[in-house]
Amino acid sequence: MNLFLVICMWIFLPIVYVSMRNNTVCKKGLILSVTLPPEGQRDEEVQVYVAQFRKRLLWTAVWLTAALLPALLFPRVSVVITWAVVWMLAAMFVIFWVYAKGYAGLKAIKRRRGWKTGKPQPAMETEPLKLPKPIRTGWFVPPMILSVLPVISCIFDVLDPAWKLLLTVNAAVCLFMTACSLAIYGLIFRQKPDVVDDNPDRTAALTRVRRYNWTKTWLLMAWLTGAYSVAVWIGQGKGYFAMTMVYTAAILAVTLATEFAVRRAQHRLNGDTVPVVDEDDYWIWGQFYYNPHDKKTFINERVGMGMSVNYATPAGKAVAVFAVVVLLAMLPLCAWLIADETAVTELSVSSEAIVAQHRNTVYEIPLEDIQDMQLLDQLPPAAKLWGSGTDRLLKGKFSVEGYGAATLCLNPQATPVLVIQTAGEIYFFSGAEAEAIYEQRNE
Amino acid sequence: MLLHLDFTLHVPIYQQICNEIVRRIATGQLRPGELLPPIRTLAEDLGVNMMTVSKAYGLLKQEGYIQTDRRAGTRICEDLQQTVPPQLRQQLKRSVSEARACGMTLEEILELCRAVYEGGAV
Repeated sequence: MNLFLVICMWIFLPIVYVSMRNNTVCKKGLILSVTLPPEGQRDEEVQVYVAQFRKRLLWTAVWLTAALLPALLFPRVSVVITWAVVWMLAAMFVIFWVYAKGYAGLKAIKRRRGWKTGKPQPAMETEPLKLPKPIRTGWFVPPMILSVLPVISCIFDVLDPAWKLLLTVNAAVCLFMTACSLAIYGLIFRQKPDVVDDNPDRTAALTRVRRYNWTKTWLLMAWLTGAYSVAVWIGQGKGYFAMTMVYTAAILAVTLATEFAVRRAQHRLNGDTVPVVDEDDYWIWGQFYYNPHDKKTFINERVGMGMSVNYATPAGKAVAVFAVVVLLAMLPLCAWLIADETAVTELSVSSEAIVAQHRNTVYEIPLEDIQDMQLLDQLPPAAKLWGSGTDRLLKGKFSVEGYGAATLCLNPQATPVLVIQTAGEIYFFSGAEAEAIYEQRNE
Repeated sequence: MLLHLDFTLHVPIYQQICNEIVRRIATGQLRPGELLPPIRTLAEDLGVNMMTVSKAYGLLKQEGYIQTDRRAGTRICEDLQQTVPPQLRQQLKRSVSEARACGMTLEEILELCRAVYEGGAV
């Protein structure tokens, strides 16, 4: 479990590392996000500087990886998650700081050597470039239909409520994803073409490469999502986790494969270009676009096929604030998770009800509602529908083998487990008082 | 490799790739024996499907402009045909007739032919 969590958090580091290292190879006249003329691209001082940056970046990635490894030894999942989240935030800051430093150094060399590289890109019509038109929206409709197909089963078949809930939620998420693919896909066709020099064939090729791969990525993502939704339905809950992992890995593979295909093409199409466009001053630390003269919120990334945000627009500022809030909100969430996992479920019984309390959550079950009560030596296999699920805390809605959907609030390592069945719900609790409550009730 | 493609034309893209490579051979930008990029690489550079490039290479091979070898890659033929193939005469006749039918004058046709022959942008 620890290894899986650590890998999930760590995976961002190699992706960012490879992407940043890839930026040291000239594409569209850019090295390390700095626009350089042909003589600058070949300059010995630049080559030595870039080699040093690569070494620095590699060592940063190695040290950051080493800093994550202690998480494998922690006994509690909540502590592992907290360590990994804090590590991820710190690692993001450190690696971007190393890149920003590399960018600033190369920009200083450019300034000192007096290399001129053009002006900011003006708005340009794409019509004369004779580019392909966007594909028909209809290509996104089948995956959307596939995504919602499992809902038919929810309507017409008699299903276990837990499975029904999971299937519906999964279908809704898949539909949202495929709809997003369609919405985001269209954005690229409103962007400026990829002008590097005054050769229209190069501009057309670079723009076409970006658009073609962008289209391929979003279309493939939509179809993969539709296929995943149907696979979950056909699997009837078996192998759900494995399917989700395969789906996530496939999405990642498609995205990275197309991103690097675009970068390879941008490198090959670079040729011996004399840049006519230089927007270095609008890219803070070479990473964040801030151009008050550009009214567009979504803009093309300078290298690769992706898009970025113009943080100078009101919407861009909102996106930045939202991203920072989401990242920082992870810290109190981790603290909450630790408190939740370490807290003990307290069971008590009064003349009217059995009460289970876990921190601020209180489950009160009137005695008159109780139809049956059991004491189990161990918890049967349970799959989470929603709530918390760690090695030491299962809290929320779970699908329990032999019982179906049930409300759990217990430490699975603490036995015995008290099962309380009412007309509308099944509860699973564990705690020091479980046995005593069971015996008292039987008497 | 940078090729001029026009997606507004009704000419299929594989045909345009084919035409561009033939034009480059004719103007000496591509020399006999010169290595062409692999299908995958050219498709990446042009932002088109690999099948499109594969079809263009297939056509060029069929017409005797290129030769492919699994190990050595795709090259421009060393011994390009020196005699004018009969189908080329047919194509020229048809193209000239079409141009005339469209209202082009002889001077305009000759000017266009000269520009193409000398390797200028058309």
